[in-house]
Amino acid sequence: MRKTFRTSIATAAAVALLAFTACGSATQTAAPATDGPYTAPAKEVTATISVSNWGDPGDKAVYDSVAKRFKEKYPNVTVNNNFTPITTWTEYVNKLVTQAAAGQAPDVINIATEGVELGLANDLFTPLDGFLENDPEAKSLRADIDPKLLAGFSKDGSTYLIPNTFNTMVIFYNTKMFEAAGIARPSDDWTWDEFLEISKKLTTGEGADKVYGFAMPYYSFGITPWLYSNGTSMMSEDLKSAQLTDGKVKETAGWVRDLVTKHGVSPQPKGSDPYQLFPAGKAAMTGAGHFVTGGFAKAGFKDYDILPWPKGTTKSTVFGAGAFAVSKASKNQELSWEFIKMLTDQQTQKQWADAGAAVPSTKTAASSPEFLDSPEHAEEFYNSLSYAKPVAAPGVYNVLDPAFMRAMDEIMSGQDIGSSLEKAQKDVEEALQQ
Amino acid sequence: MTMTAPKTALPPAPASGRGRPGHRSAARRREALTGYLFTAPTVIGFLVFILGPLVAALYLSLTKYNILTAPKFIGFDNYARMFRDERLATTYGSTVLYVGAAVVLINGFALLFAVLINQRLPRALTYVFRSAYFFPYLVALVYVSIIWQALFQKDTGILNYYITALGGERIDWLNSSEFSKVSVIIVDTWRNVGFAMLIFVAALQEVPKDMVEAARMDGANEWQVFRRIVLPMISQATFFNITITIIGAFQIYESIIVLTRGGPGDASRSVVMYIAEVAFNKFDMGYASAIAVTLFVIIMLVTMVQFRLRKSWVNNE
Amino acid sequence: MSNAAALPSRPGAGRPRSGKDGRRRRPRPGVGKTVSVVLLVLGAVGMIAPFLWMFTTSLRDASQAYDLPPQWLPTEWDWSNYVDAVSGPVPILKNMFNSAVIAIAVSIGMILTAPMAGYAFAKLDFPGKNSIFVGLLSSLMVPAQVTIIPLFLLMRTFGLLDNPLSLILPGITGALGVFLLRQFFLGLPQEIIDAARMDGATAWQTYRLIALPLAKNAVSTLGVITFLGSWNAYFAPSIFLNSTDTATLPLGLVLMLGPYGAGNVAQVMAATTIAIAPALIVFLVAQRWIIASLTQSAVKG
Repeated sequence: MRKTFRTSIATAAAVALLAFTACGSATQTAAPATDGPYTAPAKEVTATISVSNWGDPGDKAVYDSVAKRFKEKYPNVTVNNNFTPITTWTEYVNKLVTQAAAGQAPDVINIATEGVELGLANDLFTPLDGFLENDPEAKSLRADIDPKLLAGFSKDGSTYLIPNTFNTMVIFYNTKMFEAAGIARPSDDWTWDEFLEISKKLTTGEGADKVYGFAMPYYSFGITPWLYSNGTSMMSEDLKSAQLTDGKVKETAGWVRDLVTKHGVSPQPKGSDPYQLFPAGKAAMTGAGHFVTGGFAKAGFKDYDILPWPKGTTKSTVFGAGAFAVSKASKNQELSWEFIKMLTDQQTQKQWADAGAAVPSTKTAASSPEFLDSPEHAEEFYNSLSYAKPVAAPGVYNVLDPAFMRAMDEIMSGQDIGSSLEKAQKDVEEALQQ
Repeated sequence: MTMTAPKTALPPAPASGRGRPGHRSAARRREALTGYLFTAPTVIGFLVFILGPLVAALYLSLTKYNILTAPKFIGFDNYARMFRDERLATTYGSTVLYVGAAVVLINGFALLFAVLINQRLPRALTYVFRSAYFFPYLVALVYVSIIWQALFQKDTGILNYYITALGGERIDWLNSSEFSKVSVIIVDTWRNVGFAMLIFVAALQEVPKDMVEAARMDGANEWQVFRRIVLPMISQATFFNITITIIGAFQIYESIIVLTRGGPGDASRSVVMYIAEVAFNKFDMGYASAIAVTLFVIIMLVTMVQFRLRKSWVNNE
Repeated sequence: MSNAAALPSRPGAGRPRSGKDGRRRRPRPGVGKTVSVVLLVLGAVGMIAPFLWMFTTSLRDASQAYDLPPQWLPTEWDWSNYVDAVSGPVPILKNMFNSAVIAIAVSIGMILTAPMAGYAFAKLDFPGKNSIFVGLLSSLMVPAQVTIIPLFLLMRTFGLLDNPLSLILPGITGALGVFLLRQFFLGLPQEIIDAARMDGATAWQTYRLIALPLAKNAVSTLGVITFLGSWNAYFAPSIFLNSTDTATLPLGLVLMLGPYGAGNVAQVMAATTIAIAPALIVFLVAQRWIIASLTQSAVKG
């Protein structure tokens, strides 16, 4: 978890390590950039393409190698990769809007689920339907990507972005500690109750020897699976209204709090990084996306496997994806499209998979032996997509995320659940009205 | 850049009472031009980076502006909105608490240490003490806060270690509604006490010793000497310190970012943090400007009241 | 030209008050003094202990960083945390360089502009002088939070966001420096100035060759104060800068601390030690000047 300055970063950071691909439910469409058969730009074309990335500079190697390959295809085209560590999505989108207004818009925009609504509202993206329809090369890629991923990047029948990677939240558990405690791997349909029981068994020791059953991912992307698996969400289905005072949201917040205060199976989340506690053997389980595996590998930690998120009333979890769009203001739309294709093609997908920050968006890459190599049930990273729901990211996500976490902070410190969530609800409603 | 001032038309220098001979008016004009040139960089900086933005903030506070579309004039709506804003009330409440605590604690401790240090201690000892107390003030608030947030940790922090060793209960310094504020106050006091102390020490050294001695001869006890002689003599330093601590505490920001991030909820959030959030997270620039203007007005009023009071209770020799 | 060296004692900065009179009188009773010293020692320990903990922790393996009871003195001299801190994902060295560039640029700007203006306000006569000075001084009352939004918009308009210039340009002038230097120049005898002018020196020459050299101490102090102010700044940089490569050191350290406030403690403390070093050096070298000039502005009002 690197990057970023101000407060609401944890979520951004978690999701920020995503990436992706694919194409869309593109169909008839609003005047695409190309009509009729698509012809790629000629090899001799001279141009400069600028890419606006929010990703981890750690992804730079992947981008650089794609740029290099692109140079082989188009020797006279220069690619500029610009990395903006994310602070807030509003800020990122603002920056893009400002650049567009100043005639310095990037050609290719990298953005994640959280920023899509905002980007669409600000008319940043070109519909890709024409390309998807007419470019034969798009077809195979499209077929390889889960329609769910694409759906998140489409609006009113048009597809705007091609995902390259995604993350779902799953439960990571320490296999050695489970073994030592004589606990068998739970079934894929395990429940909150089973989860709690196991957590209690694995919570041991005192002081410096304290080991917790579960190190809680404490950021809204990490708390959302509890909401989803309890059949609720911070926002209504259409993302038009907030429902933070929903009875089930309150119930879920209480559950999360009780893990710390009542059951003591989880440490106070502030001041403890679950992704340090877990590989250090100070916690038997944690919740995370694929994005932590790189760090675990680097730390030489291998004794873990993954499980689906436990079920409250429903089996569910959250996913967020990263994707590429062609900027509406781009003067090199075809070239940008060509570059996006390369950013999301099988070869790059494999690199995303190897980089280990997120799950590649194509089934092919996600089922490569390298990707499935470790942990044992690595296929769950991709399979969880089948029951996952996208992160609830309205245009006012920048208000929703901190407001929710403020409420959670209050709840964790022992304040009333109802009134804490009501304040957050009010905050979000006010923002939605503006 | 030698200033050989050209004899360009300047506004005629007003006749100063000194009644210089007429033949020197050219020289005076030259001097005036030099004055303007010498002050020009500072004045330009002031206009562009302070006065201009101040006026702009006043204007923005009357608009609705989200950066993406042009500002829309909405009169005093933003100001009216503040009265309905519970988060603003909470953050102002905490800020006022920080200010009150700063005034009392920083100046109280500073005066205590200053009086202690001002005795005839060995020179080296005085130097060591002065240095030790002053050093935190030179270190960025961010850095000292980073150290303190580690010391404040509930389970691993050494503060709680010593508290439990003495038989106390672990305190959740950073994540409880009450103690998060206390932590902010501790760090603020700890860092600023040295500076205020130095001001007091400098003032104490100006207190004429013979006056003190004379009072003692007259049979005054130490407290009476302090209360009747010393305190009035250092009132100017007290005035300065109080003003500085009030202004400083109203702007408290980065220590909270590092220690508690304003939490839990808004429990330890300061107004300045709230302004930054409204402006640069919600991009509600108009409303944020309006809140900032209230902060400006409060600081201005406090300063003015201070100057008024000063006339009545500061001993100006 | 008059000889600067022959001047009477220099006014203003650089003279710590010694309060000599009365020093050699009879010593006060010992009991009170012992209590004082004990209290002062306790206070001083409280002031220094956090820094000591920072330093020892920075020399320890991260896994022992939180060992209790705490170790107050380094048990081993393991500098690897420093290496890890500067080679971690947050480019601390780059951030430090950024901080240094900004702080140096701002300090140079300030010691060029402020003495000039201070001199003009103290020694030159020009219409509107007093109102301009009062206007400038009143800017000290304007909190940075009020001007930050328009400044942000201004920087955005000129494409200076995420650019060190957004911090340098507003930093190179300032009322405090003008005030400090005006105080100094006010104490400079008018005869020196007049003598130089009689000798035919231009106003600039008088300032540059006579007045400014005399203000060496005051200017150095201003430079040091300005440098530290910029080096320590957080608020404006956190608004104007938003990438790890342009971030200043305070921003970098907050990044290192991480969203959970749970970055690797030993490494964070190593980086903090590095970050504090300039303040420590300044402190050791220039403590007396700074104390003198800061306290003087308060006591002399």
